[in-house]
Amino acid sequence: MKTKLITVAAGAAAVLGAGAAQAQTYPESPISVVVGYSAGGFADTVTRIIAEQISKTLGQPVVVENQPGAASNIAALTVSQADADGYTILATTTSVAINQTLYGALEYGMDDLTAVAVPVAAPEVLAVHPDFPAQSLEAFLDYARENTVTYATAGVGSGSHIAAGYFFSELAGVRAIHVPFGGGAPAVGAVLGQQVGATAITIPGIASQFQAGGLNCVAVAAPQPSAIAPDCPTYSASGFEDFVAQSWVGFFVPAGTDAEIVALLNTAVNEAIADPAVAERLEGLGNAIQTLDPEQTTAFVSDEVASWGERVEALGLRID
Amino acid sequence: MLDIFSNAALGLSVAVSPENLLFCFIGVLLGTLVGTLPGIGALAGVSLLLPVTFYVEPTTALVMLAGIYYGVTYGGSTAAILLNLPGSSAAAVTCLDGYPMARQGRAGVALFMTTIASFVGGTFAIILLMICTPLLARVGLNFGPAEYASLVVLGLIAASTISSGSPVRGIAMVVLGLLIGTAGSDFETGRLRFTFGHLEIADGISFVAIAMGLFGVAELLNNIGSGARTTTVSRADYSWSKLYPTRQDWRDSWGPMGRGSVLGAAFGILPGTGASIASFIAYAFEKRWSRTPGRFGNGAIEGIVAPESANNAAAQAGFIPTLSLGIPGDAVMALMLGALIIHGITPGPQVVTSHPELFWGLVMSFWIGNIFLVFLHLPLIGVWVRILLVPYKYLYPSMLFFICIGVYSVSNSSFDILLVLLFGVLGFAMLKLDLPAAPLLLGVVLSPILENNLRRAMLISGGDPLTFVERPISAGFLLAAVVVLVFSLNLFKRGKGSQQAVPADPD
Amino acid sequence: MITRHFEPRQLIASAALCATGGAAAYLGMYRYGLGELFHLGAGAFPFLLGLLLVALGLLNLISAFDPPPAPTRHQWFGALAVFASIAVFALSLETLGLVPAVILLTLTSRLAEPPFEPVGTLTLAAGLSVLAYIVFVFGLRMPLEAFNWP
Repeated sequence: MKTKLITVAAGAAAVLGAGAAQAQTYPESPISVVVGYSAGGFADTVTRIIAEQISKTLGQPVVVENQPGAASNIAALTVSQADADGYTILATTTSVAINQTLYGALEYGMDDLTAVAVPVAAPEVLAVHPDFPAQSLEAFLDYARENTVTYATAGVGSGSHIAAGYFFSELAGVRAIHVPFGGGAPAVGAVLGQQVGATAITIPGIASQFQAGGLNCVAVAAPQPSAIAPDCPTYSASGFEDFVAQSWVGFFVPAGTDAEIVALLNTAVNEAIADPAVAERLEGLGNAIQTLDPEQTTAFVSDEVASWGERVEALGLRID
Repeated sequence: MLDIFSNAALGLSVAVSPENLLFCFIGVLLGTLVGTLPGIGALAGVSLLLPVTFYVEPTTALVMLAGIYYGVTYGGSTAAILLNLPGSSAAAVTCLDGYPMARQGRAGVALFMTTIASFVGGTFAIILLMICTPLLARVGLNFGPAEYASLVVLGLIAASTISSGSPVRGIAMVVLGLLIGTAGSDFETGRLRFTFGHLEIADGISFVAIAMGLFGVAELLNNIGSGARTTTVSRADYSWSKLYPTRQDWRDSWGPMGRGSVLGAAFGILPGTGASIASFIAYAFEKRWSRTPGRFGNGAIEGIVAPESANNAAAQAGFIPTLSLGIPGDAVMALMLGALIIHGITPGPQVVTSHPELFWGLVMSFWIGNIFLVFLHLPLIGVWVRILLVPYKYLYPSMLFFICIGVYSVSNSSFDILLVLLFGVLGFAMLKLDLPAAPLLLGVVLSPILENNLRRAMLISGGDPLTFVERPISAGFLLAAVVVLVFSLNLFKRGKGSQQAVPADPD
Repeated sequence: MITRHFEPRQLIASAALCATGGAAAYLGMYRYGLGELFHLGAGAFPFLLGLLLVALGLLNLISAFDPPPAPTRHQWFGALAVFASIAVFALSLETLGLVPAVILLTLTSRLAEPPFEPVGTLTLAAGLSVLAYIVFVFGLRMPLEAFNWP
């Protein structure tokens, strides 16, 4: 992409055994971050906030590009095929972990990408209209055993769909009908208009409704209650031990990138989110900030791939 | 009523602050420029200015982002009229009569009237926004999947005759469009349909690629080698006096503008769906309303002012659900809400009361922005029209470039450029086989709205099809669809006769 | 409404509509799945629309047909050059860079409307390249490189 010229020069240098020198001088030119979603979306907003900050730390422009499509698979493929020099970074979400199991034939795998940082995570929640007859998780499940309930999500194969679907059918053992919408906003609209019973969604998509009292939170799939809805109990507190599902934004580079460059980028991201102004903006969107070193990041991502894979398989979902 | 005036005064005082005026101007200017480039949408301009929004007051940020948004809807008609290059579904409708007007040497008039129509539509929606935002927002919420599905059925039946010529081929193209619109990931199962291994179309085929291929490339091919070139008009037709509408043009336009504004505003309050279909419906409505439907498609001024006013009314009315419920209609609206959240303001029903200076300031800035746009556009008309004086041998390679780069910009995808090629071939074939392109585009736009909402409604009702007639709003649309259908069958029987201008024989 | 004289293009239009509709209906039924009557599957819509298209394709045979003049040889050649220019642009934009892509597009597309006029064409190519760079790379910050040779 943008940095081909440098890439080729760097590639030639690497052949001559100058790989370490490459890491020492990095970054020498602008870095591009390829977001797998449209400008203005959740992942894009988070990426731009962080990119702006790391550009200050690294002393090079960090250019955000959008390559939306197929739940970020297109951007992931592009970056996995880019040169492993640290100048092309992928910004994606939980979807990249889900897609490994959900999609039948992908032209890239997690082996082709190295995780740099997963700076933010936002829990999944279940929310209902204030007029809905069941306002707690227990009441909701009881209601679902007697009646047909529907829940809206941002779409088929989204983290919200898989987490909620897995929860209802595998953990709670109730039948709830999934009604996918094209994005979080229409899903929230459907439950506001009482077209559906509930919505399963990530906190950033619904935070404003909680704060305004438009919708009520029934359960949050995080270890601790969220600051956005402090009164909303966790699934654990409602009797479902350890049911945690979060939507995160993560940065990846092509596999084979120099470990020093990965560490450098990881530090830059962690420094960015430590900045109080950045942290405030990210948390304002409903995210929890997580500071992980490169090993922790890799472990986090492989845990995510495994746990989402298990849920996708339990639901028997497959896209091809 | 007094409330409105005091609120409007408050809003005006916010909107005319030097900073807000400046950012409003930047927003509409950028929006116009970006919108004039065919295919480059609001998101491109917004992405560019996004970092700025972090450093200015939330009201200022919103004023600027909103300016880009409606500035793009103003600018979108320019390339559509002059070169038959539509960058959005609304612009595709404007092509139908705007481009024929340009070929008759009336490009200046078309550009002038679309600017006025945009202003009228925008103004109407702003008044609506001021008077009854909370009320209308609730109406939008009553629209569930069943209502959307029934509304699209009505829209399809009403608009299937937007092209002139054989109704059979018009309907066949609507069906083909619906079919093309099903390509991509199925909303319920995720099954990839008609993608043939290309994940690039998993989210559906780029609308801009289809529109540019069918309208832009096909028309360009038709001009090449035909000896016709672009227009049969001379330099004299580009004199300044010829740029302004005649008294007859004005007289023909007021009615369509008014009806277009009402329709556009009505559709605009439906989050996400409204703006894309408002202009199609407005066009179809005018064609049915007209005593001379045969003029449509051949440069009827009603055919551009109605959809343009509808389009802009819908764009402004789209702020009703966005601001009062916190439900954004599209990506740009979502971004505006994101800007608010970053500044610690929660969008939702309370914004109007808890941050009156923001809400009213923004609404009043719409007025100012719309006035800016009129004054930006009118002087530029003379410049734009001169594009047509460029010799065709230089014009068409430039058009091809703008088509390709515009389509690429939507998702930075070279694959989409190859799709333009595919739809260019299809468009050329359709032209030579007397198959109309506009109904196909209508089908593409409506296909996912129809299919997904129909199936969603069935999921929600537990598989009971009676849901469509038991819900009153849905039943109303279906009833209206039946009425229109009966009308159409009558039209169908008279065949080509009804297409001719017979003033004494209203439809 | 029956056509007075036989027009082969009407037959072509009908055949194309029927073939497209038939293929869609087939894929909808066998590949994507029809689902149940009140719980439609991914293939149900394509199936129904496909059948409808076949029916309309047949109806087209007996409806009035008033096509524009058939393309001349000159137009066929022009169309080919235009299509080639779009393909060349798509393939070279990311591999060679924006400026070479614009130049290739201009040169290829100018073949469609002879005479070629080398000087005018090259001037146009240069002008468009500069414009493209200023507007899209510099102005709109699109992620494109002006030159991208290896």
